[in-house]
Amino acid sequence: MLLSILIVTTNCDTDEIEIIENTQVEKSNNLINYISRDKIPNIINLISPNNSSGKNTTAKATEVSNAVGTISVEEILEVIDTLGNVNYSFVVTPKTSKPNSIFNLVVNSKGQTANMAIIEYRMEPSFAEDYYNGIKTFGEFTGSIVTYPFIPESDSDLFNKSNGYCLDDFGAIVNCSERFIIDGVGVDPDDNSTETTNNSGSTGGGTFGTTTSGDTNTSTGGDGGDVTHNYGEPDIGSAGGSGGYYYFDCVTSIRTFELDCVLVLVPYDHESKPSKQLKSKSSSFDCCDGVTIDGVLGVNLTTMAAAKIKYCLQEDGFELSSSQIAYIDALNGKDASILNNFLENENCSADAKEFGKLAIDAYVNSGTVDYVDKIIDKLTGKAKCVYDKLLNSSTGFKNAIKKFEPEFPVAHLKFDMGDIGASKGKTIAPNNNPLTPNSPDFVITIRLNNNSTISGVGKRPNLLVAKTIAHEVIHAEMYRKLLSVLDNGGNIDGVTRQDVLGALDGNYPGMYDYFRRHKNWQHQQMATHYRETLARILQEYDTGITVPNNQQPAQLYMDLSWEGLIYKNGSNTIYTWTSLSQEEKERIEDVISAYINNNSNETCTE
Amino acid sequence: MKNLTLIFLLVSSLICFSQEKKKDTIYILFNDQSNEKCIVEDGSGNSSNINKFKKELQGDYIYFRICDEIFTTHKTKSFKDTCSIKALDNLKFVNFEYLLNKYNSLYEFKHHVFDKIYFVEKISKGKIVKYEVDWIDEIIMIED
Repeated sequence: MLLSILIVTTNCDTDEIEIIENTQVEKSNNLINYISRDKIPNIINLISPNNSSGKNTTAKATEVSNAVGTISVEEILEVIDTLGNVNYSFVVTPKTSKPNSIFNLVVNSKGQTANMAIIEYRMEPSFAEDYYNGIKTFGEFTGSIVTYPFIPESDSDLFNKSNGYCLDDFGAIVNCSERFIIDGVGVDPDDNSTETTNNSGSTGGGTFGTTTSGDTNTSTGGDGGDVTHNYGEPDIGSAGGSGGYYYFDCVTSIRTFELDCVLVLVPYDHESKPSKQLKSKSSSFDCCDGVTIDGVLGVNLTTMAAAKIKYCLQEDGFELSSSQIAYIDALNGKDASILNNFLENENCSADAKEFGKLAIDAYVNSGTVDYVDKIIDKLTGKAKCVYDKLLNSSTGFKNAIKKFEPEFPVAHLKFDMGDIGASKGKTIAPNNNPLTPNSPDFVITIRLNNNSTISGVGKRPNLLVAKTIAHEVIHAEMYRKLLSVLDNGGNIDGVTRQDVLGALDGNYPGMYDYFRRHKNWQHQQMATHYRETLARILQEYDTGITVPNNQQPAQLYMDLSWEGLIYKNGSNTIYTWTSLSQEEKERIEDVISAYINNNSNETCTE
Repeated sequence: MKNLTLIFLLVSSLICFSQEKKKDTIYILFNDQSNEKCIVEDGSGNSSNINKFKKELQGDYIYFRICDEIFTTHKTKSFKDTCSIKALDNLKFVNFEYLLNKYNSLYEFKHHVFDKIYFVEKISKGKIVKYEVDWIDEIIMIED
């Protein structure tokens, strides 16, 4: 009988994993589904610490908390084996994160009782690195699987060495079962002196003590050589009901089904079909080819990348708000995987952390994240459409944006929208003052106006929305340059005018000069030196044709580039503007005004 | 005696120096019902004769605008106090021009000119509300 599973996936062989709850196809006797808490209220009550008092857990809670940590009850992996055993695997987030470990609570349901255990998949560090970098799949797991007894109402933290539950003073496992797996295949228990094989590594940091594998009998050859085991039946009934002890005696292998979409741990072989399974080899194992496996457990990996992300983002005193943690847990597999890879590649640096937090917020608000150019895009509707067209059509704009690609962690960009009154757009430098508009370290925020006034994106002509975006990006570029020489931890906190002068002096003489002499220094500099850049971007956006370097942009675009730079009075006066003839000033103002009148309320189509 | 003189001079200069560095805390009456006007430019060639005092809510922040200067306070995190109108007797108010003159006389960012700035709004016959605000310099945020 073929063993199969049904998971509806849109693209199972890529990073995108979409699991639709409770959809299943039966090609074998095994059934594997992701289900929600609503389907198994009795089990949820059993695992809840307050179940002994008869009090139900909150119907809508997404997790159950206890002394061990939190148990996610959102995406529960249900596996029904050929004997009718039903196992539920829940993702557990322990109170103390271990970056190379994945924790599941497995509940075996039989009638009105349930047996439970927490299983730690403790990855050997080099395997963990390969796995997180996408070099290996979980089916090639190398490490150990530790089984802890689970008592819902217990106030002991199982993973805390001091309680002496499973670990001795040296962190070695003494009272819980530990099985070693190499390349997805279980090491023969007989070849290890005891099932409680000492793990000499520290458990606190998730390190893995290498097993004395000896004759592991693992097969690496093409035909999948036999693996010899002492296959006893698992002791699954020593204590029924809550607080039961589900002791997985004969973990043999980890198998990958459907190209890593679902993974199952095979705790023992059914005696009727021992040989076929034993001849299988994880790396080439065809899970559907005439194999009957009983007693399978699901390995619930749904939030593993999320756990890794949380671990990184909370390192070095960084704090996540409860809403951010909820966001991370809510990330879909693809986004979590990409974000996790990004953080790994950036060695979880401070600026990567900041960017990671923004990415989380962006995902939650249906925004997009560009991990290459490090841009958070939370624009929507017309603003998003214009921005995307700018990126696609304007080489000048693209080049401006690319300056935020950080070979050096200087600054990243975040675009968002808000009701900003009468302003068309604003740019906020990185600062941590919670009492003023702020932006995270290393991140410059550009905000476009989404209100319904004449300053809002909706009313403004598309070309002038493009102009506002480019105009704000030039402000951001000025902040970026400043940050690159300030050496102030990626923000402007506590920086004085003297600090800025000192930083710009000798590094950016143009900015230094404008900063020193003018109150409205950014607009002064932009009006004098960046209008042609703006006009080139606008012309390319409008016509789809790049303006050759040896040509001036058309007059229309040069005129429109003045919008936002016309100040005639007081300390804001732009001298490049006031130096123009009255006739020229009136002409430009008329062009801008006419363009707005003739093109307001435009829609943007892709 | 010589030592005593030296110590005296040292302490005196330290006191003078610290006094010189100390920044003011100022209070400004923010009256968005006032008829006073300002000419404000929008950067696109348009000038508007608008109310001198304007208050608007943007996300978590209250923006207080006086002419084209921006002051902000966080809706919940910033200091805000409601008290009797009698408390006004003990406060020394300055006007907007004092604020600008002080800024122009120093080489500082706007948010570094004063120790604290409080805007006081009359909200009823007998009550005022006092907001601690930050003066937004171009180094923090730039509009349009």
